[in-house]
Amino acid sequence: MKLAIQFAAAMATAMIGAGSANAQSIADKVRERGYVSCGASQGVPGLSRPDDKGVWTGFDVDSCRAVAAAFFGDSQKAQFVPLNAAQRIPAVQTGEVDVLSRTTTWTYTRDVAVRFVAINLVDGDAIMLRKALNVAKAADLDGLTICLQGGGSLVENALDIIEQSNQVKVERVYFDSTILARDAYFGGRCDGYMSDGFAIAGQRAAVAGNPDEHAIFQSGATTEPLALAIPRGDDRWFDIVRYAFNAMVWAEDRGITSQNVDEIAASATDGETRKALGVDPGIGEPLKLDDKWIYNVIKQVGNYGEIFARNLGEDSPLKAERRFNALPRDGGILFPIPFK
Amino acid sequence: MLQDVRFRAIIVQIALLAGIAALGFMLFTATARNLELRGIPLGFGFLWRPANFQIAETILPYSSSDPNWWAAVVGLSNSLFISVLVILLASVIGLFIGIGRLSSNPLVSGLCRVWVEVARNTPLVVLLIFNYALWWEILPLATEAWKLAPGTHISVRGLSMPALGWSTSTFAPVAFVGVSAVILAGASYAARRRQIETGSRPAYVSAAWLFVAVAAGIFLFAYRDVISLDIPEFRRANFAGGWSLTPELTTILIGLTFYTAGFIGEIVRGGILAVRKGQWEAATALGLSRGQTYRLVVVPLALRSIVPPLNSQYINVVKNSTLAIVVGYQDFMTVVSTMINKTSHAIEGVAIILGVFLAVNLALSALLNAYNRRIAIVER
Repeated sequence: MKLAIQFAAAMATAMIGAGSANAQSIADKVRERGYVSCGASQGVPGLSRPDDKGVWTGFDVDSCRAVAAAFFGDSQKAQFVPLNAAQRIPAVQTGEVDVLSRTTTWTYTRDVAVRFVAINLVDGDAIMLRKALNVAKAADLDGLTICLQGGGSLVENALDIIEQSNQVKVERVYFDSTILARDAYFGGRCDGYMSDGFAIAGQRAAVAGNPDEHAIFQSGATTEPLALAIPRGDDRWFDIVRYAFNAMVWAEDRGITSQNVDEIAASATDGETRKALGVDPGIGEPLKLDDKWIYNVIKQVGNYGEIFARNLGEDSPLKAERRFNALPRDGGILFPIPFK
Repeated sequence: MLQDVRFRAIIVQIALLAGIAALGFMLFTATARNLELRGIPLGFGFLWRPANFQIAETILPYSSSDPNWWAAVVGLSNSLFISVLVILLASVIGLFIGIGRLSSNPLVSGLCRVWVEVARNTPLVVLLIFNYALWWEILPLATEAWKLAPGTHISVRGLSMPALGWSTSTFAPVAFVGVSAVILAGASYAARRRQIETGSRPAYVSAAWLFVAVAAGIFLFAYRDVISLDIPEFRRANFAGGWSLTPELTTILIGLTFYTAGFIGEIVRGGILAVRKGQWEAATALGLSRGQTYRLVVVPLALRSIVPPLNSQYINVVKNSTLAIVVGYQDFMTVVSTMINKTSHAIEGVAIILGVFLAVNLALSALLNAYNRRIAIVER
């Protein structure tokens, strides 16, 4: 009897303890743990995929590494959790991942469930098809079979829009991972494989036996703001993630790269640059970070243009164009927030 | 009063119950508070809003503008459809495997043994993905489909064959099939009653079949204008029209049946071995053939030790049906997961998944327990 009471008391304390632990700020939790837990995809070349040595690489991976570089001063202090489309939002809600950096479209419904921080990539839906089918316009998709990942992705929606606005009917085969959908397409089960534009370009460049056999059709049905997301309820963590990403955009705007950052820090004369790069003190204080945090992001990860070129652009097998993902002066919609 | 053992026992019981209730209450309030803290809304209102997602293959009619609860029902029907088919197929095949394992023919017993060992010692997911990949490896592309019969083709896209089209309401044919089934079942029941009473079995069933066949002829003739033969045609990339069986459904049916039949085979073998040798000898002494011995003596006796473990195998089939999505067949769990992703109602969604599987499996188990009581040895 006494034992039972003790047990109940222990359980009650444990539960109250757990309750307050959950209310603890994310930044403190991450600090205690020693690394940032990032939500990644299950393997999309160019965006997030472990390389042949098991090291995660890609554009989304670098976006999350920037957070680790800002917070810990070490871009390697990030660990990646592969998530499918249906798992990703709950993984953020429950705090399993601190940053979701996984081609997730910013939508109203999702934004009231988690907290979107910054758009890191603007993309649209795309369908990879065999060139022999000669698909030039949406009407040509009539009667074709499309393999895609189910689970409520925005790409599914794009297919509905294509069907409705072009009076066509396509057959769908849904999988719980985009990888299985891709393999089914390459196996001949489907005429097309649908996903986000950059993901499709990556799969064609990295996985197709002969990339020239496959064409990419972009309907333009949707323009998707893919964004970084965090759990709700921690404004400080929100600031850290937002400005870690902004540091990369800002650096590109200022012409600062991982190569020349030391040089610029040594020779800079304008107040904003000197303060941002930690030459003059004060930049880290509002976020309770080191004054070198922006420097660390640029030095260890690079500016936006560098990570784009390395993972998706001219230095990668994908050779994707920047389109919207460029600074306004280059015709894009990427706005740097001043570090003033 | 505290010296009274019975009184003390009751006090302990009450305290324990109160403790469990308090624990449950604390769990619930802590969860609710934490959910509120993270801005996760609770409530089942989302079930009545439009689902806004498609389901590739359905048994029941469905469109993306239907409400979420209907999408869940459609998903459940997909799950139950494969579960029922797999249970039926695996039971029949498992029975033969169990008997085959005991065969004195080394080829038969060896093959059955290989089946059992492969099924029991491989993870089901691997088996399913392997099975699915076999479609691409073995079958030709749609453009080079193998022609099995006029209008019937098989390729990597599945089996496509002619179908009977019906251009008006489907009530008449469904009603006809239903009435025919009732007539046949009634005839069979009456014949059995008569056999028990008089010892000879009248030809009621054959007469009923004849009646149904003639009626079917008249029926088809009367409706000849609305019936059409829908033959699949190759258009651009695939066969369109007719009736088709997709690789996804086929893979989950074959894979899950193969797997479950292996387990059932072993249960059947154990059940048969549990039948005493004397029963075999008695059957032989009566002059029954080997087939008759199995059908009339051994299997009914073996059922008593087979049914209870079979119960848990059937429940496993229902649970394993949630793996269907790895081969692209959308089951109940996938549909509700999609709903969770679309509406962010994770707790409610998971509660629905758990509740429904619990209900389905308890119902299945109750059914088999009732059957088990019927065939169990009645002690007098």
